[in-house]
This record gives sequence, C-alpha cells and structure tokens, in this order.
Amino acid sequence: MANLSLTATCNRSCSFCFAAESMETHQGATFMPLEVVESAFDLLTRSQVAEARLLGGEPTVHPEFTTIVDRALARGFRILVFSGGLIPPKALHRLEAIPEEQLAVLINVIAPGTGKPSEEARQREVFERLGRRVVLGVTIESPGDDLCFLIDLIERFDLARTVRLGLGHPILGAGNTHLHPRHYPEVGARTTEFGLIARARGIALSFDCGWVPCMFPAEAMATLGLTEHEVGLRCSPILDLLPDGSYVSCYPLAARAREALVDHATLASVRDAFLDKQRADRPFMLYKECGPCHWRAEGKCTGGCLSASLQRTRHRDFAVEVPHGG
Amino acid sequence: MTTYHVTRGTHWSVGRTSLTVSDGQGGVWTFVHPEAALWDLLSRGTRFDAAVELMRHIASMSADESSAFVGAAIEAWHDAGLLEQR
Repeated sequence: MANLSLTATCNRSCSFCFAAESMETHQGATFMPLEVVESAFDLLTRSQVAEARLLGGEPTVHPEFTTIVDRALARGFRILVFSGGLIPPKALHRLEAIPEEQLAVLINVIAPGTGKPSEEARQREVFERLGRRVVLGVTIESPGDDLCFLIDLIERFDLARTVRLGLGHPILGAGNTHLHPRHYPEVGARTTEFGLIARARGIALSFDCGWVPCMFPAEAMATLGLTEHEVGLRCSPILDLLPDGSYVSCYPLAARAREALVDHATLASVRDAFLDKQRADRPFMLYKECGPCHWRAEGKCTGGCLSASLQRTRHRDFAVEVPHGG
Repeated sequence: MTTYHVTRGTHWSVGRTSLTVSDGQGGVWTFVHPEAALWDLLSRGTRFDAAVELMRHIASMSADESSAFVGAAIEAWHDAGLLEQR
C-alpha cells in the first residue's frame, strides 16, 4: 500500500497533524501534478495494488480532484480518501455519485464542541450526504479523549460501522501535539472499554499504526478479538508519495529519508529501500522494557512508532580527557 | 592528556538491561553491563578518574582493573567511530 499525498495544503489546522511540518517546509508542488498522479497509478498497477489511497493535506481541495477520481475509477481502483471532512462542493458532488463498494472516505472527525461550529456543521453535512461511504477516524492525542460520541454519529448519520483509531505520533524533530508513550496504557484501557461498547452495537475497531500490545490490559486483546497484526505490526511501512513525486516512509519520519519516484519501481522495492535505511534505527524502542519483552521476542510487536522511539534517543555533546597511560 | 569527544550524529537510548548506541550512519551497538554503565557515566560528563572510581564499585573491580577497563572501552569506542579526537 501507499498513500498518494495529493496536496501540501489543508483547510483544517489540527494540532496533532503529522503532515504539518512537511506542508510548511515542502519545496515544489503544492498540488500533485496529473502526470505524477498517473505515474503513481502506474506504480500501483505494477505492484498489483487494488486501492488508490488519496491523502493530503486535504486531498479534496486539489483543483483536479474530480479528474483524479475519474482516472482512478477508470483504472479499476477502489478509492480511499483521507479527509478532514471539509470537502468542497464540487468534490463532494463527485464522491456522492460513487457506489459504496468503490469508495470509502475516512474522515478525521471533529468531536462535538471542540472545533469551529461552522466546520463541525460542514462535517455533519458531509456525513449526511456520503452516508455509509464515511468511516469515522480519530487521532488520540490525550489519554482523556472520550470516544463514545463516535457511536452517536455513526448511528445518527448511518455511517460505516467501523471506527479507525489513530495515535498522535511525534514528527521527528518537530513540535506537533502528540500522545506521549507513558500515556499509552491509559489509552489502551479506555479503548478497551470503548471497544466493548462499540462491539455490542455492531461497530468494529480498526487501528492505525503505532499501537502496541502491551498498552492493553491483560486479556483485552482476546476480549476484543484483536490480533497482533492489528495492533503490533502495522508499520510495514505504508509509504507516502508527496506532491513533488518523492516518497517518505511516513510523514513523522519525512525528515529522515526520501526516495524519488522512478519508472521501474514497485512498492515492494521502495519499501525495501526504506527498511534498509531504517535498519540502524529499528533497535531503538518505545520503552526501556522493550528489549526483553515477550511480544517482541515472539515477533508480535515491532516496538511501536519508530518516530516516537527515536524521539527518546539522546544526543549530548560530551568529552572525556584520558591521561596518558590511562 | 588525550581528549575524546562523542562523534556528531551519535545518539543512544537507555533500556532496562542494555543501552543502544547508533553512530547515525548505519552502525548500531548494544552495550550491556558494565559498558552500558560507563557510557552513561561519560555521557553525563563524568571525568575519567571519577569514572574509574565509580566503575570500581559498580563492576566490583580493583582500581587497576577499573582503570584498564575504562581506558580500553574508550579506545574501543574511538576505534568504532563513536568517539573522536578533535
């Protein structure tokens, strides 16, 4: 899989945004040119990927968004749009016409009372019009975040009965709002409570990258029917193709390494190139306890978000004077 | 006196039972006791003589053994490129 980051601009300004640093420092295209989009579609086809994942910034503000959607559908891709939910009228009109089986719009939802009223109202209008094509997503940035409003929204607007849960990860070397790993166990406990309520209402949980099995209470994974693949092994990595045609392994690690989009590449070859670059970083772990951890020893956890793990590494200039003969 | 500085780009992370050090260029080392303790002491600015004295207690060594251990570890880290002479 890979995300096509169509835009380096957004109509929301979320404090946790992983892409904020890349959008501020991007050099080159604000909007992915159509020829780069076509090259990316070629790559997906070459890599036998059935889904075009359209990301941003806010992908729906791309001036050629409807053309991109048309071309993706013409090539037979299913479309997944990652959106902040403030979808411009023309783009919304186009998305409304696509059948559910060919489209999902993952919307990072504004919790009631936490955003601008006009933006909240606009999101609710989008929910109303796209209905079951909408999958609600949240990025948890504080251990106290309450998730139960998601169930109310799903039932009120008859949205897809899946919730996508993400953790606020740090952009390496930047200052976005993120969830500190010391709060993970509290988030795991709250997520377990929420998961049980959701499951009773026929709503499934889906997890974004960076979750680790040890953050859940004992037996919670089994109770919720989760596997280690869903919570411990999500960082393959899924690549982000930026508007200028370069790849990063993910937005939080964008400053670490980039690869250019080349004609003969496949997603597997690009991913291997990144894994090779990350080999020296992988021994770094989220917690002090990760070294002897059984989840890791059994291959059921990769050690959490690599950006969060690197965030806890130290560099301090130091020197030591050694006496001759010492 | 020979002064060794930590090499630019070298970064490390302290684990429960080990210490992981990267040179930032693809090289990664995992130090366990007693090397991990010595790296931690030096990274906090501990002077050579003080490190020798502390390591003597931390690793139950004689003064001569501790001095030889600290000197050899610094030399090995210099050879590995984690420390440099400026």
